[in-house]
Formats: sequence, C-alpha cells, structure tokens
Amino acid sequence: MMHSLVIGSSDDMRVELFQHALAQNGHPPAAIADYRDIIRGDVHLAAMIQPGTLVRIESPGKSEEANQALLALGADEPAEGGDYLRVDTALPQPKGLIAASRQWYLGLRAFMRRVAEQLNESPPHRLMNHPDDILLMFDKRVCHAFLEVQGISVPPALPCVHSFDELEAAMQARGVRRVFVKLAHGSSASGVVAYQTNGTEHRATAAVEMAAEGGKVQLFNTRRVQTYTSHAEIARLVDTLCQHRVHVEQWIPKARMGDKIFDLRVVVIGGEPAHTLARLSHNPMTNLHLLNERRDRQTVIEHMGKDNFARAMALCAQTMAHFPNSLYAGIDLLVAPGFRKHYVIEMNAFGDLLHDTLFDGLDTYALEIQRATCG
Amino acid sequence: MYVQHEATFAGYPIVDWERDNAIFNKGTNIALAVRTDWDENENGSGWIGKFNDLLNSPSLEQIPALVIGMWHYEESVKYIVDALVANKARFSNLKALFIGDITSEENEISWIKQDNLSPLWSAFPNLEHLTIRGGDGLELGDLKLPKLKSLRIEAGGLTGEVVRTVGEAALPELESLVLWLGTSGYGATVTIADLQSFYECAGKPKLKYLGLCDSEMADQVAEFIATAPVLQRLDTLDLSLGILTDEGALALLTSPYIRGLKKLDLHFHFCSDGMIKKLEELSQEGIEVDVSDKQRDRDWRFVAVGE
Repeated sequence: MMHSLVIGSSDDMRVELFQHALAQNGHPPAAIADYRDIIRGDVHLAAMIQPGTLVRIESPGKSEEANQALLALGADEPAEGGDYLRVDTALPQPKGLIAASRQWYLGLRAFMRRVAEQLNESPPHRLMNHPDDILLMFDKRVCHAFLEVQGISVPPALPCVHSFDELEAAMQARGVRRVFVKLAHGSSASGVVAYQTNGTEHRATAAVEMAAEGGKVQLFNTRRVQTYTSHAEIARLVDTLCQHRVHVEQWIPKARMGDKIFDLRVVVIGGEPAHTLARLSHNPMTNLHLLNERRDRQTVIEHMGKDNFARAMALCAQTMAHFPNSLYAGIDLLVAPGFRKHYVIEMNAFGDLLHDTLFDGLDTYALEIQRATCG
Repeated sequence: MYVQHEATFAGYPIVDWERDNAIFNKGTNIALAVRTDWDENENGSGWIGKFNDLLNSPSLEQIPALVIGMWHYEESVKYIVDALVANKARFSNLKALFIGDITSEENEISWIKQDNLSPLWSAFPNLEHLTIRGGDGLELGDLKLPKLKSLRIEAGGLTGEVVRTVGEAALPELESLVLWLGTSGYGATVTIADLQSFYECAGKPKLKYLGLCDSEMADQVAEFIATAPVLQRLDTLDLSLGILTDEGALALLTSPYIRGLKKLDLHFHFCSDGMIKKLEELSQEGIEVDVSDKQRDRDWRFVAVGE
C-alpha cells in the first residue's frame, strides 16, 4: 500500500487516469495538491508527503484556473531575456486564444521553484519527474541547445529571432529556405508554423487563425490547418508569435506511411522506450489532437524495419539518459525518408497521455508506477 | 496530395540507390531512384555528387528506368540533364524516365524548378515512358520521341507553350497522355486556344488514354473536349482533380462521343449530387465512371494540386 501525491488539477483526465492505474495496482488514490492552492499558499507539500510517498508532478492540463494562476504568477516575474507580450490575467481570455506562453512559462518557473523548495522540506519521497527537467523541456530553445551539446541528433536550429525580418535575414544568411517556427514554451502544435520560401514566394502552414481585434493581431488555435501565402500576413503571424519567444529549426522532410507523412511519439519510462505511436498527417502538423490518425508500434516496426526502429529507440533511450532525475518523458521523433535517420524534435515533460495504448499490457501510468516502485 | 513517392514507375518497382550496390543483386529490372535527403543536400554533395558516385556502380547498362527525385534547391535541373546526357552510354537500356519524383513534404510542386529538357530526347531516343513533375521553367523543345508510349506531366500550372508543344508533337506510339493544366496562380498560362490540337490528336494515332487534369478551367476543357473527335478513339477520358462543376459535367453528358468510352474519370470535382447521379447512370451503358471525392462547396474553390 503506497501513498501517493499528485500535483495537478483534480478534475483533469490525466489525474483520473493515474488514479485508475494506482487502483489497478492495489494502491489507494493519490492525494492531490492543486496548482492554485500551492500558488495561493493554501497548501504546503511537506504536509502532504510521508516517507516513501510517490510524488507526481502533473500538467496543469486544460484547467482554466490553473493556467490563469500560472499566468498571474508569471506577470509578477521579472521579464528577463527581453520583454514579451503580457496579458492582463484579470480579463477573461477568448476561447482558443493562443496563450501568452512566455508569461505562462515564467509563471511555471516560479511555480516549480516553489514546488522544489517545498519538496526539499518534505520527508524523503520518490519523485517521478524533477521540476528542473520539466522546466528544461518547456523551453525549446534551451532544451534544443542542451541536447545538441550532448550529441543528440536534433534538427539544426537558427539563432534567436525576435521578428519576421530577423527570421528572413537569418534564413538568407544560411541559405535555409524551410523552417519550423515554434513557440519556445508552447506545446501540442500551438503556434507552430511550417514556413518555406523560394526567394519570391512564401508559404506558411499553421493550426492558427489570425484575427484583428482593436488594432492588435490575435492568434487562435484551430483544428483546421491554415495556409498563408501573403508575405505581409506571414510576417504578421510570425511577428506576433515572436512576442512570446520563438524557437526556429530547419524543416527536415518527414518519411511517409501510405499517402501521409508521419512522426513518432515515444514515451520513455525508467530509461526504456515503451509506448510508441506514429502520428500521420497530410500536412506538416502531426499532433493527434488535430484529429490526425495514428498507427501502433507494431505497424511502425513493420513499416520502418526492425533495425531502423531499434536505432530510433536507442536514440530515445540515449536522449532520456540525460535526464537521470526524471522517470519518463514523451519524445517526438522525426524519421527521415528511408527511415535510417532520426531527429529529436521535442521533449514533452507531460507527454505520457496516450489514449488506449498499451506496452506489455500496461498503459503509461501503470508502467510508470511499476518502474517507480520496483525499479 | 501526392505526399508519397511512387512505389512503381512504368511497371518497374522503384528502388532507391543509397550508395549500396547490393540492390542490383536482386535484379536489374527496376526503376532506379536517385534522390537526396535534407542531410545529403545540407552536408553532402547534393544530387550531382550522388549521381557521380552512382556512375561507379556496375549494371547501369541494364537499368530500364530511372527516377530522379529531390535535388538540392541550389542545384539546377540543367546540370542534371547535362549529367544524364554526358553519361547516356551508361544508361543504354533506358526506356523510362521520371524527372521530379518529389513530394510536397520535400518541395512544393509549383516550386520545383524545371528547365529545358530537350537534350534528353536525342540522348535517349528509345524512351517509352516519360513523367515530369514541375512546370515552372519547363521547356520541352522539339518533342521527338518515336517510341514513347506514355507521357505524364504533373504541375501546379503549365504554360501554353508546353501544352501546345505536347499537343502538336508527333508521337506515333503514344497510348497514354496526362497533363495537369493547373491554375494561373501557380504558373498556368494555358488557354483553350492552346488545346486546339487535342481536338483531333492528329500526331497520336494510338492514343487510348487522355487526361487533362487538375484544371482551374475544367468546365471549359470539358465543353471543348465533349465534341472532340479524338473521343471516338479513346478508352479513357480523365478530367479529374480540377474545378469541374455541373456545367462541364453537362457538356460531357450531352457529348455525341462520350458513350464510346470505356471509362470516364472525374474524381475530385464540384458537381452536385443530382449531376453525380446522372453521371453514374452512364455505367448502365457500359462506361465505368469515377465521380468519387466530391468537394464541398466553399466560398473559394481550388484544384487538387496547386502548391
């Protein structure tokens, strides 16, 4: 009988799934420390942890309150590294508006700092994922640089740009024509733009809708992937994203499965690549929540070939080895045509939500619990 | 659309050459594909470098088909053409050529930069199958290919000149002809005037399959071809992938020659459900009709492949 604590939102699907996995393993449900309560100072983690408690830091998820609280926390943080687009957290945000991710990240950072402090003051416990690792994975610029320095295969990044003009200049200076522009602190295709030019024409594909509101450009997440071909529009789109900080990488073409392109989501647990899915798409955005199709691990192995798949998994294991204080992460892997070359395109600290996917008969949460408790 | 590389070309399985000559041990009756990936373009010697390495391989003289895939943006097709022509003796058995097996993930079709390909015809006069993808900068010169059985040009848009060159070419063995006419936004300058020689297809006595696809002006093409005597000789008329509406479909239905066809391919279209029903009724007269992939009405309409 193991005591557990989840730092997360109580009505969140992820927490529910974790509770279910605990129950299936004969453990009592985890206590929950809500993001908002921690931020408000209504709880101290030390009071919720016993010796040997399994501590899980979960995503704030879709909880508006949790995310608003993080944004409010971020508003108080110094704007190091340059100013960014701030939002007034007192005002309600229109539905689907792309979050002010820099402000959100600064809030997350303050939050994780507090969590780390409180964990330090707590009885000895088993921490699944370390706050420092979570923060690293939520900063694409820093994470990319970190992985590159460790010799992990990643697409080459462009230097930091703060505007579309700077992006164009950086691309021209390097003879690069195709790039992925991502919010440095975004996730799940939010604010990702696949941009390409041949010198005279421009094309940007994004799951983003642009609207002008009171003279300002507003960006909304959309399930309908949009294509922009006007230079001015693309400049507006990228300039607006830059206000939240962007990370730019070269666009390496992906391999195909049938008439679609695909990439892989690999959940590494306890050092070993486990749950694996291929995400298929007709357009450059492969994320599953965009209603894209997925294929299971066996299909991927047959498609790529055993050796290529094994080497892709080895890359994932090698990548995760650089995060020894974290039990799991979801790695997005780019497979180039030919299936022989692989690149890590994203690390997801909360990337273990894979519906209806089993590995050795267990879902991600059950396998994490197993690895956390038995090793 | 066309996100995948083809699996076969001209009936031969496509096998990528990856600097491994072991592939020839399984036989040389293949379509050999030479394409460079991002890594080879960025850090390697591009397509020309890879091709030069290929020239060290044995067995090239037996290869019947060649597929030219992605090349570096900074390489010109002109150099690829020159390289092929300079080494034509090594490809003495070449019967089929595909220039531009490039997916949209690698490069937009309307951004593929083609060039004057005419030096290839005299270098490889025995070509039976020719596929070209990319219309920007494409010039065909004097299209003299006495043994050509199939010709296919896919593009975001074709120029009037290219279409006229194809239309007026004497291709005595040609059985299948497919042109993606495209949209003006992606380089198409072709007009109905440029299609005049397709009315009779005089220089193509063996033509059985005619495709005028992916056209912004599919209705006009349908009206034009509906009364074209060439329909009497054809097995298949293919007007797929374009902006075909009830207007164009009606012209086909009322064509004096349509019932001589074995197949009418109109997949990807903007016809109404009522018109689709009428077209499907043609199957009762022994004509196979493909009216799948109906497009929803929108404020704006688009061909299947522009970009």
